[in-house]
Amino acid sequence: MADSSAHFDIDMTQGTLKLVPQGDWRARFLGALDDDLRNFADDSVGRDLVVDMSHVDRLDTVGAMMLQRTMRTCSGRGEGSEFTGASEAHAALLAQVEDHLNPCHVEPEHGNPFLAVIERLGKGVVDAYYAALEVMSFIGLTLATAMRVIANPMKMRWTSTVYHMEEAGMNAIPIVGLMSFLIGAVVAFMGAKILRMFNADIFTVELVGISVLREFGVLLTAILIAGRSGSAFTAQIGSMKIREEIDAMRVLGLDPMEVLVLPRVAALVVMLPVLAFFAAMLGILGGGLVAWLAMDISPALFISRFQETMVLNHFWAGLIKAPFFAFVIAVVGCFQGMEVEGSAESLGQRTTLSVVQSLFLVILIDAFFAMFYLEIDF
Amino acid sequence: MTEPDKSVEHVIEVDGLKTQFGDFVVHEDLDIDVRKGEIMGVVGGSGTGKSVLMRAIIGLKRPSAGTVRIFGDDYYQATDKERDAIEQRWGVLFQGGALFSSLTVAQNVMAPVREHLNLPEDLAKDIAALKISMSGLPEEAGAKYPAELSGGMKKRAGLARALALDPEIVFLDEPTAGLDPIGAARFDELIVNLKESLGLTVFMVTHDLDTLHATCDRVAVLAEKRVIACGPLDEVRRADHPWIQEYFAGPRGRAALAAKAS
Repeated sequence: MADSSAHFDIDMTQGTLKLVPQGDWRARFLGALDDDLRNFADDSVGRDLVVDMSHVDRLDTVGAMMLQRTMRTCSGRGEGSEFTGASEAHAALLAQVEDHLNPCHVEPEHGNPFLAVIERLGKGVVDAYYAALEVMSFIGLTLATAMRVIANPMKMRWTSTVYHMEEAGMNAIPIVGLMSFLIGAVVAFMGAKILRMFNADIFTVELVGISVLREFGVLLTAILIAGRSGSAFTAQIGSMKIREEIDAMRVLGLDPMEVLVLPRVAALVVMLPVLAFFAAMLGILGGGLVAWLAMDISPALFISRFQETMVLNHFWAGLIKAPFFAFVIAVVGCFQGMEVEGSAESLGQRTTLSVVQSLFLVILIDAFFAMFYLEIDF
Repeated sequence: MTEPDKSVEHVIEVDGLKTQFGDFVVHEDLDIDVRKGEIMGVVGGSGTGKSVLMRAIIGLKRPSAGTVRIFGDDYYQATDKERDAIEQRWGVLFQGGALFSSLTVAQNVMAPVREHLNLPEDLAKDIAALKISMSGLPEEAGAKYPAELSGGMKKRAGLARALALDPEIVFLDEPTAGLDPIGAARFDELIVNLKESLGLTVFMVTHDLDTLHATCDRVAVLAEKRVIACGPLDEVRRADHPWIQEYFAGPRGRAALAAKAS
């Protein structure tokens, strides 16, 4: 046919309203026609309609659906409404779509937006309350499991524990080392610039020593491990949860707390102090190197000044925090993993939540320690 | 194997296909043709590469030798544009439905429509409603997320998405696996019904003997890295091969046959 693009004519010559669709009525050609056809249908509500199909070259379900929809809007299929001249295949298509014209919702109902905001706020508060309770109970469960295993060390999963010590601890050494080396160097640079104004270059040693030993070494290591291992714990346990592996463990009489959670918590509690110590040493090395190269404080001077002024308290003040951070990171990571439900989307949300929560808690605990040390003059 | 008959139109022609993972050869010198408008069932034991064959045909697993022709065009030699055109003429239902989990069912169905056809939003919504209803899902299902659906509903939603662009070929990977017998029988009916009214060609990988009896025009049996028998079910059943005999003459095969006869 010469004119193959889709269009339609309206013919009223014989007294009845006649729609004559023409050309190729397949979805890709019908976009421009949709509005016109809707308008036509809205204008002709209640009238009998004859659709002459004899000029349609090709038809797919979308074309058939649009014609059936027009028919329904016009007349609700009264006596005088019909399709004429349809080929066998086209008639079959028209019949196939006829029962499937009801629109459906594309998205869940949102309701009143103002109420929705209030509802979300309220739900958020309640959820936060229950989440806090659940984290507490998970911490309790972890500690109870730990006690039970300490009483009966045969139950400890040593292989798994050592694996996680390597994975979360040993394998993090390069990145932790590089980061604290750079942090130490940056602190030294910043301090040097200001201290030089007071001719107090040598205090760079105290600046680097105290900040790295007390705070930066352990805090930044904890933050890095929360991002690196806390999220990994959530993803590992969460994907096991999705594949029903956790349920399988339970029915086989294996306690997931013992098999999955405890080895991870134990591994991190052992390894984070080691990493924090390593980080502190490299931070001081970075600071020392900058002091030597940029401020002519020789390594010998740096070390002797360090020995004179640094008390061991600074070192312990930092290191004591590490196991607490580790415990929080591992417990939150495992907890969020256990909370994953069903879909991959939930896994993503929980992993994000795991990192955010453990970072928040690490910094909160750090603040508590700072106040505590201040009070006891440590 | 049946000789290629020039009088029937083949929409899928696979010639001398070889696929492998590393050194492990899954198919060697495999031939299979699918005729226009038929339902072709592919059966075979676990690990004979039924799903791999499907993936090779739909372009997800590049074969190491052989050709795959879809509508007469060699898929793996085609330009990007030709390939795009081919891909709009087929629909695929993956085993678990493979719905996008962040979209509702209706949005899943609308995704290919939005991508490939430049249509007004209202029409796209109507199309989604049509396909969802044609796949046998209730209207409320459109606004649900895949995580809220049962296994059978996921398959139907997957089918609705596969049908979104009015494809000529539909690939089904184990469409009835994991469905209860009633749900599976309804799904078989749905497929036959859609094939008849839409003129679909269906390429189906299945284990389900009842589905084979209820739906398939021809059956291809995969074993020993190739198609060892291909033809109408009654013909294939009589083939002299131990696996085929065991498969069709075993208790389940006989039960399915009895069910068909009654």
